[in-house]
Amino acid sequence: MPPVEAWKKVLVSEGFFAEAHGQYDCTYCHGGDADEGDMAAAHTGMNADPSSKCATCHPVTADAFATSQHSQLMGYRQVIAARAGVAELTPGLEAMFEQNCNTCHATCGQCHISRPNTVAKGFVRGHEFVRRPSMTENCTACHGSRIGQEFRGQHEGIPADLHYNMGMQCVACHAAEEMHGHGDQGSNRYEVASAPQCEDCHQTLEENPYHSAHGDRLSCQVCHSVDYKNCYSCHVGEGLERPSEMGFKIGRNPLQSSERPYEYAVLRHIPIAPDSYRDFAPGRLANFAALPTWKHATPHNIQLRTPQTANCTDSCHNNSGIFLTEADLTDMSAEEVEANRGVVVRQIP
Amino acid sequence: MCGVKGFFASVLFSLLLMAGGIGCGGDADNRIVESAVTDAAQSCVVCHTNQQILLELAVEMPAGHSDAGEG
Repeated sequence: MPPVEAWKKVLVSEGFFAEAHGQYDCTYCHGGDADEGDMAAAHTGMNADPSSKCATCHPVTADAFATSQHSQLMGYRQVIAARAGVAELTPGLEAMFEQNCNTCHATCGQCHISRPNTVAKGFVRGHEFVRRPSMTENCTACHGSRIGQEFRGQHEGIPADLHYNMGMQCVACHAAEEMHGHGDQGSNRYEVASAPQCEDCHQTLEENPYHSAHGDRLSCQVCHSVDYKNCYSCHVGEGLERPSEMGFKIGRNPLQSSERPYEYAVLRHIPIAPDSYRDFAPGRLANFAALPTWKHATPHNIQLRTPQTANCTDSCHNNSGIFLTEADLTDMSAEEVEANRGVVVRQIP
Repeated sequence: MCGVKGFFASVLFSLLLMAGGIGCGGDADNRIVESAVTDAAQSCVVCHTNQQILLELAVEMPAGHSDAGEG
């Protein structure tokens, strides 16, 4: 997304002074020296993103957020450690994490005041505090290349998510409790206790014969998603030279749980290779095959009718093309083939 | 003009305080730090509310990605 013009990034609107936060001295949150006439001197010691100050007035939310997925990126941290075969990240991997993954973690301000750092910041609404983050200025500024583009239908020939067409934005499903965290964050975003599920709204699914027939064997996306982006080259490393590709693959659910008991789920290829972090941790990831490179996915391009729902016998059953099979792994390294053994479908339903 | 705005801002702020709903939408854990509240705007506001001044200062923010959205 194009960056905000430099002057506009720091232009405070009159509206800000009409809200509660606008009653505070600027320096109360930002520091610096308001008595200095010189610009450089006035900004000395200033904190442009004083999100840690939010805890002064919002201690409960701030405490919960401190351990949230958005703040800590535990999901990334844990899968990297698992592939490296270590309980905690080694110093080299920790450096990699800080210089790469952790540059995307969110702060209070990056959701409620300004665009996130990853898109070069800038006030969303003149420093006014926005209770519900903007889908385009905040959420998809980070979650853009896959989720944002899928949701808005920005891939050629792929329709927008029907929820988007109904006017729904991210916060309609992803409520503050999930985003802020509540101390029960699990090891990945799907395990967050307040993570949304389709059934939260769609509670009469058993009335549909197709739903009754498939029961809990399929995730909703298996029937109601369409082609989504699979990534092969965001990070450096052997075997990651391919550009991203649109596609659709059903595989064995790698995150089976009581909340997500599905036998089959939609899988998205992620950009990781055995030597992805070689510049920080020499050698290959010792336990690369601990996790599949085709991961559980929830594409945000939900449709009522999809190619899978066209008819039973041709579009899904007996159609090996939409399942992840051994044939899809033929051009992958031996380690990656091993990593995906548990998610490939060996017998097409 | 500024005095009028300041007056109305003070009134609004007082009403919010009385309603117990001060802050970002009235979260239960909100607290106000009254010692940090001032009636007068600080000198920061002189520049940061003036588009022309900011343009002239050619304020530059740290560089970052412009094509992010990798998540």
